Amino acid sequence: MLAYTLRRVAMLVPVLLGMSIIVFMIIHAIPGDPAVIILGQKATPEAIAELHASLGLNDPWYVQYFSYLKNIAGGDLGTSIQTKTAISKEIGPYLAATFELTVFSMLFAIFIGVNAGILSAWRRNSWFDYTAMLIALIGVSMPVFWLGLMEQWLFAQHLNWLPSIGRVNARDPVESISGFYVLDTILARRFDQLEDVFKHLVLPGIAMGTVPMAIIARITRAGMSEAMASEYIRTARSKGVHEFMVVYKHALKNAFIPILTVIGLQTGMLLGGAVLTETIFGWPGIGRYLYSAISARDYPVIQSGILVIAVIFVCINLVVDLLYAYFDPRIKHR
Amino acid sequence: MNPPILEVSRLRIDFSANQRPLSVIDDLDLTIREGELVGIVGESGSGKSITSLAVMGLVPSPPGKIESGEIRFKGEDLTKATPKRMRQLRGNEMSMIFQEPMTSLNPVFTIGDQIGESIRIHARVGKKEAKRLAVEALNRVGIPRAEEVIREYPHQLSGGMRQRVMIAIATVCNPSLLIADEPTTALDVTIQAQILDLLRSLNREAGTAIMLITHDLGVVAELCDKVIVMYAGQVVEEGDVRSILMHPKHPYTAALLESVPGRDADRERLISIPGSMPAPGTVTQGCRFASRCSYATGKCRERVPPLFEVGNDHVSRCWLNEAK
Repeated sequence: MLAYTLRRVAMLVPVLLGMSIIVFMIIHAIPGDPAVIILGQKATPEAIAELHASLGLNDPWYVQYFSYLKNIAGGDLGTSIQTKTAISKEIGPYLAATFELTVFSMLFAIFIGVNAGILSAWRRNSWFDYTAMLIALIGVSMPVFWLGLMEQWLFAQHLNWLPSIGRVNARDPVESISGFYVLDTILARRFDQLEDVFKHLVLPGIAMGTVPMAIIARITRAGMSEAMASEYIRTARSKGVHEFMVVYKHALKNAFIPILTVIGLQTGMLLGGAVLTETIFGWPGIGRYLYSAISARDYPVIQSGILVIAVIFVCINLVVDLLYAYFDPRIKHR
Repeated sequence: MNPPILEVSRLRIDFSANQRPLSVIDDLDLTIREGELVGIVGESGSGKSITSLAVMGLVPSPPGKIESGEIRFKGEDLTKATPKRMRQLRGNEMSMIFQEPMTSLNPVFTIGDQIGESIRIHARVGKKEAKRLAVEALNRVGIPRAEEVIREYPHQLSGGMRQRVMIAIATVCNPSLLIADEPTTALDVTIQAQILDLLRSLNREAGTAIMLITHDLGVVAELCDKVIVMYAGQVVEEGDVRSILMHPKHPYTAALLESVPGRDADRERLISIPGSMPAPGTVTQGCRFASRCSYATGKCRERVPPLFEVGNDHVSRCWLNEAK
């Protein structure tokens, strides 16, 4: 297992280098002078020359690339043009907000999706199977923004059960330590506030988790149908294993590889920032951070945001690969 | 004579296809006594595997259904047993090994986990004790370096080794009945002999009754005390292995014996039984073998033959044996 882990981690190095090159090229791929783009058309020639010098734009491209590499390796992601603050400092809370929402959405998606898929496979062609797969089909086809708006209309406006906007009641802000409000409120022993934080998570969480849930349900059903027809399932039953364990232990562990792949991909996509969901629910996440940077042509933020998201994506893939080996021991022997 | 451990009587199993029930097992009777090694022989589709699954309570349902009859295991009627009771019996009092050792073991659990699971379901033992028993079971089935094998996965073992592991799983709780469904069909000839030896010693030493399902009469001749020949969901001949192999009383058994290669050295072509077995539900009257039988008469096509007593503990379902 250790050798497999090291091999997988070593494979990250070329991937990360490749990513850094692409991200580095973004600013240079834009037609025109980056300094003019950053400062705007009305900038004075002096200001442009000054920015050229400070950004190192007069150096050859490989010198620029290596100094860029040196900066990001040291944790310097550049400075936002809009706010004039270090990006590495201001990106944290946005990431935390998106992370918290993603975890919540994916837990919802995995719990419902995997169980619905299992039940559908176990009772194939039953009314449960048909209903669940119809809901899954609607779930993957439904636009997320529409679902979000409908949720707000029904549960926030009409029934008044849940808040529709933000991470927490704005009149009682969370004293942020980690940026993860669930964790922060627990640490502060503010359990009333924890409840409020959870209430704020429900609607955006469901809106964002519905598509992953539907995909997971369909993949689980397919994998479990195949696994349940296997001969080792008959063996397990012939040993006197309880049907619940036959399904959730013997079959599920075998069927889990494709499910895990989907979970990894969907988590990566949600962490990349769901701009629509975050906008509808006023969620101060990475999606909205990048969206506002794009609107303001804040190139350093765009560049670093993409880099951070790409690194997160790669890390999730690493975790998924390591989990593959846990679920199917044949993988690490290849 | 030992008391019976398994008594199947008037068993009928239907499979529904397109809402129409088809009987795949019809009026089946068979008895296996304690410590006996019984061979069940027949072509593919004769109902031998489904009979064994019925005993284990593992007939896939739907589409299968035990329509009528009794399966008595140590006197208890299993057709009326609850799922919980069946789980207590399976893997403990009776267990089963299958044809395909390559796919019958779960690829994602270690050998130790898979043997240990059987132990921990049926006996209240801790993890350590289960591990010790698993190693012991592997030693018993002749697996070298058992201490290491329990940490390995099925794909790291050869086919013969996997079948040994299957036998270890099936016998770890010392069952009184072991059903072996073509346990050697998927294995090399040299490995086949080893597995058969292992089954024999299990039968002799532990006194486990074995129901050996096979289509290989050579295996039967070598191993079994008693033979049951099945055809199209019915028992057609049953008796002591010697008298059946030497003096078959049913044309089907005789034809099966004829088709064993190598019995007659100067014969060049392999002999086969002309025609094929009728599909379930297609024979509604008369003997099911009549269409392929060279001795068939008008009576055979009209009336179903009963089982005739043809010798000491030897019965045959053929009109030729009437009033002999």
